[in-house]
Amino acid sequence: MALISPNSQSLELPANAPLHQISLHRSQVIRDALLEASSESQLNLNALSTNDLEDLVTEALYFESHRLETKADPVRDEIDLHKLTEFSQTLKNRNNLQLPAQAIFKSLCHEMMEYHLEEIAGHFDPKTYALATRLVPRGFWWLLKATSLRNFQELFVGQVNLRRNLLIQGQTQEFQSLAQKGTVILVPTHFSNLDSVLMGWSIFALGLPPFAYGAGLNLFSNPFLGYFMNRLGAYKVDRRKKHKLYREALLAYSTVIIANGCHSLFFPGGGRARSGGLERNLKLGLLSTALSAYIKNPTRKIYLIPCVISYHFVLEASSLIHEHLQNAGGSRYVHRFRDESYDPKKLFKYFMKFFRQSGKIYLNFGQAMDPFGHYVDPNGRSYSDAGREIDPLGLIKSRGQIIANPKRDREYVHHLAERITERFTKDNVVLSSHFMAWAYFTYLRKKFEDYDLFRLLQLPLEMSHTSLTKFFKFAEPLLAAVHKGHENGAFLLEPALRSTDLRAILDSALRNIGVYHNNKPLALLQGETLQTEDWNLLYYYSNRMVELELPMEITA
Amino acid sequence: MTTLIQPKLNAPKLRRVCVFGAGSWGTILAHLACKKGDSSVSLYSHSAVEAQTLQSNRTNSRYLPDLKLHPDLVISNDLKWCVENAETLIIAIPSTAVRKLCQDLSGFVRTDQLIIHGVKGFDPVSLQTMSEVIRHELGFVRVGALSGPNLAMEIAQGLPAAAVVASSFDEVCQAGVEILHQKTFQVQKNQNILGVEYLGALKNILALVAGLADEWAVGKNATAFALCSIQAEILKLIKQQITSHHLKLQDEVELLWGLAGFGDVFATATSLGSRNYRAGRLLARGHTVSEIQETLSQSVEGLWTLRAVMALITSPSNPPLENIKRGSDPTSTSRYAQLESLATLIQIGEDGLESSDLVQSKAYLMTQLKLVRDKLFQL
Repeated sequence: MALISPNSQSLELPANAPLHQISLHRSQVIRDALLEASSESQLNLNALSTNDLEDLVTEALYFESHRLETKADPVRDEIDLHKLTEFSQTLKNRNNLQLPAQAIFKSLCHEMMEYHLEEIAGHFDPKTYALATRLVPRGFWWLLKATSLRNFQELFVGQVNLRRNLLIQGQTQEFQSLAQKGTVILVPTHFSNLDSVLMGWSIFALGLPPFAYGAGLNLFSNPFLGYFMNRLGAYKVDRRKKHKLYREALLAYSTVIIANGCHSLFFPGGGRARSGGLERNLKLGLLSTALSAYIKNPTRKIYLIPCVISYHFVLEASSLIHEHLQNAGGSRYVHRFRDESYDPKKLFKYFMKFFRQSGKIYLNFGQAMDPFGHYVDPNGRSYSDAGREIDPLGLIKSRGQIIANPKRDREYVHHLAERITERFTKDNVVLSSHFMAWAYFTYLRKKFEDYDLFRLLQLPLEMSHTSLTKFFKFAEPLLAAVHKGHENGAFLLEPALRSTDLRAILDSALRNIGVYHNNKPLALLQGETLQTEDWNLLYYYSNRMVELELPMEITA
Repeated sequence: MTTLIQPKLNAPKLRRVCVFGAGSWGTILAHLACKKGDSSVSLYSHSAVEAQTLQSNRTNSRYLPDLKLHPDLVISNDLKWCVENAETLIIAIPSTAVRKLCQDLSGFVRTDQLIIHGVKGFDPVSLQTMSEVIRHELGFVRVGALSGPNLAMEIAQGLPAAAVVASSFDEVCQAGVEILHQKTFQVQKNQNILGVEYLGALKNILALVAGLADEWAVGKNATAFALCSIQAEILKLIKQQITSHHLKLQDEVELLWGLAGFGDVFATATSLGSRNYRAGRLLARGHTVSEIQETLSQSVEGLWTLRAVMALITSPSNPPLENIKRGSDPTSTSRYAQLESLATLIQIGEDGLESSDLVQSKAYLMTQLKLVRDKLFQL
């Protein structure tokens, strides 16, 4: 386990650090990405018919004009609108250009992708990095320290054991070793916007150089965040741009920077997990760029490192589960929601509550794998499940030649995604709060088995009242199953959950799960009756257990 | 010391192929690949004597005595040589031997090689399909499954046949077609490798049941009913297993009605050319498993498959099937009982116990089948 401590000095960034080099040669990187996006293995622009090229252009113009109608970002959208008008004019006047239609459409495809790449490509400034590595850890350290104090004097004397709150564990040494041997891609679970901060912190705490990270365009609008992100190698991802030319430009950029040795971070589940459960259906787009980069530069090995983040309570739980239920239930879901995620006071309250509690955030780094999903050892060698060393290079060869084959490569990426989700389950640290929320929700579903999920979630809160004796009787076999699953290696348990004392586990869960939310998902009434003050939140936290492989049938 | 036979290779062709397994299926596949003419083909036999005999006599007198092997086919018992001189490996050996072969291959096999297996069965220990066994041992290599109604004896006689090569990798399907597809042996492509593997393995049980029922002369109606009842159980199993692999077999009616499903059942559940069907008949006559293996002189996949299916059904991680066993549906209970009875029969046969148990088990299955027949008459 790595001990997190603030470095007295910033990390020395070597002059040839890939992220810095990428920034220095930004124009070249954009040109390379443009070539990559147009290449045979991606859009294959040279082979497309006039009609196909026209479809690409019109699709882009159609989606862009719709996006700009929403006026979500007036300043940026104004610039985009101007450019869009230019593209539309070229399209309109194509008959006057004395050029074949195919050449005009191809040129438009290039221009549009180039325009998007100019937006996507990140910058890196070593001075800002040096500043950030001094300021951020210190700020974080002091925040941790101040909020962990039992009394004011502790601020000046003694050390606060940071392991108490933030645990970076798992295959950290393997991670460090592989980052020296090749390009590492970190693929964590995604539950909260806090994830990016914690991942950045853990990368720094492990003594690793900065990672490229695709950040939502909206985050760059914030002057403070935008300042740092614009200078620390983050590239921009605009999820509102839905057309193929943008998507291919984004993937090509990621491919080029990975192929150039830039360590990267993706959240393979896409956005934050709305349901609160572990991600099962990963987005294959950015994930596929690991393999594309390997094919582009097979001399440099690429390793993917899954990481599971476990929180007792999630900052945005209410809004996330609201969205999930809205999508899943449609008209059957009755809205009763007030957003509580981005209020600065709430954010401060969240940190204070979190660090004052004994509960922890776990960042558990899993076993590394190659772009095909084979496990790799700390020396970067790939192995089959039976433990036989294999050469991954052969997998991208056809008839002796290294080639990109989109159909073949899609299969590899599917397999890689399956392996990552497997690791998400196995490396998941189950917390007392997850277990109790799940056991209690399972009990209530059984008690009201004639109600479907959406009717259950609308029941009066009093209907959730349950005597502890009854609940413990129900939860006992569930706990035994969880212990058995842990013994079988299906997942990990936090120490508090390894006990067989249900009362102690409940106390631990109550201490942690309820500290942030105004309405507690799990609460005790007069010391003897369990109740929920928010059905949706209870459901959200219980979902974290749903995908675990338990050695019994749970009939909910 | 074993003599390693390294025959001289013929002039290089479009593809280089090695077929592993010199039984009837392996021999006919190697012969067909040579006949197609686009590939240099070697046939691997683990026995030096057998390889030598095949090479010199140019016939497989044990399994396909009437077939004159193609003159371009080379035979070897040198595993390393065979692997190194091939781009595509075709595995045609009993399911129980596939893991061991992969372990032996692991020192020489390259990840750029394509692998096609023509094995209809499950691994007896892990209950994995053959592609899963191959990938477990060798990594996520490009693998495909060859299946369909292919009675080796008929193909050896030059009668027309069709097969399906299934893989999620198009280049594997393409290789299967390029190597084997010809006028008398049509090869179709399919992407659902797991579906094809499950169907190929599980139809072996149907062939066993058909053999038993025919031997006991319960009538074609009752036999068909029994086959459908057992197939219903098998389908449940397939759906559950495949769903867990994120595939939707239930939506793929074409697969069930295609060569790997209905086609294979039709050919093997009715033909004396099918080993599984003949094994069923011998089982009904009270022969032990070892006697059956000896009589048929080849591995009978159905016996292993049934055992694997019973293990899957009774696995604690299979609650829906457990429910069936517990009797939530009375008709399903009787179907499960049929499968169970059949498994007991084979287990007893394997142990060599000609006892009252066998009689009892046989009587039970007879009663079940007769009940089915009576029910049909009432209808």
